[in-house]
Amino acid sequence: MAFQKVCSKDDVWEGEMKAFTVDGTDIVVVHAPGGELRAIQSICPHQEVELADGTLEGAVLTCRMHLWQFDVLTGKGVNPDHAELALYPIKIEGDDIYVDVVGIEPKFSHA
Amino acid sequence: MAMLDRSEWYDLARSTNWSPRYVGESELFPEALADPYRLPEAAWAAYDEPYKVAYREYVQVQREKDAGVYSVKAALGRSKFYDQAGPEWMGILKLHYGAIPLTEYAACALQGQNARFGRAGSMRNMATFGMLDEMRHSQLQLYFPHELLSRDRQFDWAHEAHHTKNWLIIGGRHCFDDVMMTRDAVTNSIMTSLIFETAFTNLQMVGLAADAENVGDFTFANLITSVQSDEARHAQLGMPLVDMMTRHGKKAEAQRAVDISFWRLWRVFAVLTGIPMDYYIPLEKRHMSFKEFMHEWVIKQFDRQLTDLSLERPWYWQHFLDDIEVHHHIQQGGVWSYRPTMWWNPVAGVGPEERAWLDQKYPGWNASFGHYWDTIIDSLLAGREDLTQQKVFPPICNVCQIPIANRPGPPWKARAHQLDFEGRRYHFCTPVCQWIFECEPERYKRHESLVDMLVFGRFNPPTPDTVLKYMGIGVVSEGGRDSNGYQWIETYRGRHGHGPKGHVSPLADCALTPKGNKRLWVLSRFQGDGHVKTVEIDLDFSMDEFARYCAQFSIGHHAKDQPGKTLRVRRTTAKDDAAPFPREMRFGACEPRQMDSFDVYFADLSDRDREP
Repeated sequence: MAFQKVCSKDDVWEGEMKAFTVDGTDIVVVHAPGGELRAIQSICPHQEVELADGTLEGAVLTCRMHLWQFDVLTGKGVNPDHAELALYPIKIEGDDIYVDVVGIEPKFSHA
Repeated sequence: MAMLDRSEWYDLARSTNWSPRYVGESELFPEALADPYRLPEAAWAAYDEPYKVAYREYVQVQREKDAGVYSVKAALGRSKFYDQAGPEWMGILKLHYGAIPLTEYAACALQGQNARFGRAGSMRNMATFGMLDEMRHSQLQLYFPHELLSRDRQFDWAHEAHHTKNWLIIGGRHCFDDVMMTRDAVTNSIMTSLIFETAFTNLQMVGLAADAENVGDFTFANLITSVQSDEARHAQLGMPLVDMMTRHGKKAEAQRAVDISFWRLWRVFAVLTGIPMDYYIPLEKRHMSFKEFMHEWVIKQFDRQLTDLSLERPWYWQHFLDDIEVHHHIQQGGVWSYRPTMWWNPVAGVGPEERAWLDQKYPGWNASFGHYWDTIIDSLLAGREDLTQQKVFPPICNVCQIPIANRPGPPWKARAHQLDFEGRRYHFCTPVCQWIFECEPERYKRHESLVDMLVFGRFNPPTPDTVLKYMGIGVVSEGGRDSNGYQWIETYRGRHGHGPKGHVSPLADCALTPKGNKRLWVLSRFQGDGHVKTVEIDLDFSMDEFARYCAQFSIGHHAKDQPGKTLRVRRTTAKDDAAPFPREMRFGACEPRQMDSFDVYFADLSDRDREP
């Protein structure tokens, strides 16, 4: 089975995000306001800057470097809208968060 | 009241084209300023920038950014960081502030040109924001060094450097005049927005920001990160244009614009960023070598961009990869050796531990650059500081405006690439700069480098002091000196192959002086020296005297003597295979022309050559 335990829900509070490494793949677990959880690629598709250093407002994640914005619920770019984040399958069992990184690569996009 | 989403009105807001009735299209958008490639109107109508912003959002975001930058500055204003920061870090700040703020100000004019002559409303819209961005960058980066001025007069170069004729400033200005100030709106968007602002600004702004955080200068780290956050928006100006050119039969022209600008910017930024990263940042604070940073932040992303745009790597890719191993290392030597010409106090940065690190990051460093610095160390240990001050200048490349130099020591790669064009001789650092010149000689041929001016008799008297004053040294502030007063050489005294008293070869001193009017400027390419040197030679010198005369500018400065061998002179050729001139031959008898290049090299003593 490819799902790996990453952390517990207590590790990433609602409205927060945190970087983890799963099987050598860097990911960010995002706990969006409203309680939805997502696992996204760790770096911005633009210039590979760490997304965990960005800011989260509602479901919109803004990269710290050039202010690219993404909807973390869908992975779609908000601005620019052609960009996209890779999402990793995530599941919750009790308080534990599991993520499957197999076969999914980070996405890249230019300005 | 509910506001419309930006996407619902954005297209309408940026559609500002109209049909002129009183002038023709070609008068409204002259080709030379707008689009010499004549891209079709339909292509321009489809121009789309991926990252979108409206004026209201722009103002709000910029206001927040400025609040962040100024509040960090205010909060840290009473910290003692700048009292305690070493001369190395202050050198980096002076270099940055001298080179960057007024280049940002010049970029306002670039963005202004695009805001007027971009043929798509959306391009003009983005360029307008770009203009405001550049204004912000120059204001911030002039304001921050201003408070440092009371500590150190050399910070005055932040305001003054761009208005001087300092050689390094000319190098930067010549590059940006070329890629930014003197092209049409399409080409300058490719050269500056696409190539400079997507690839190279990362070097100075991202790489240096990480180092600044490590060193503890959070004010500076925060400042340049904030500046960099603006780049992506206006950096996108060029990308849609390359795509349009590729689709409309102008791919070769787009490729050439990419190739020219990538090389020009590389040559400048290797000096601006490569030297601080690999020599000035204290060893324990370095997060990456310059080469690693180039691969991670420039080459990888540049490659991806080229693929996305269906462009090729520049034809000179191997030259570029070679240059990453050499260019900033020899210019670091040059900047330190010609420290009186700089507006900061250059750092040597070559203690034994630093050298081990350099040799690990750049295999072969010790076997070549090590010779260069060991020569300097031996002279300093011998109390011959005078030999570490240069009496002659290297020739300067007629494209990149950077002194012509290459790998020193046994590999001995330094050479000038020369071209005779319309009766004048031009000098280039590499075949790439020569190619750029030959692409558009009209653009470059009239400019005279400082060394051209010296050779053409523009300086009177033609001495280093005259040239220094012309460069603004002693006028804006005093020129540079060794950053820690040569304390660093004490590590070497009696150790690491150096004796307690160093060593200086008799060849370092020469009693010969050119006499009379029969003199000629030539290039001395001295074996082992990383710098080619411009020297004035007496035509009546014998070849032996020529060699002895040239030796004093290299031996003890940048090259070592080879005892037991004798100096010979030959013409410089591509394969280093010219026969040496007879030793007693009069120099004038080889019919030299001004700025011909000669090799002075060590040869085995033949029986005939042996002293009686």
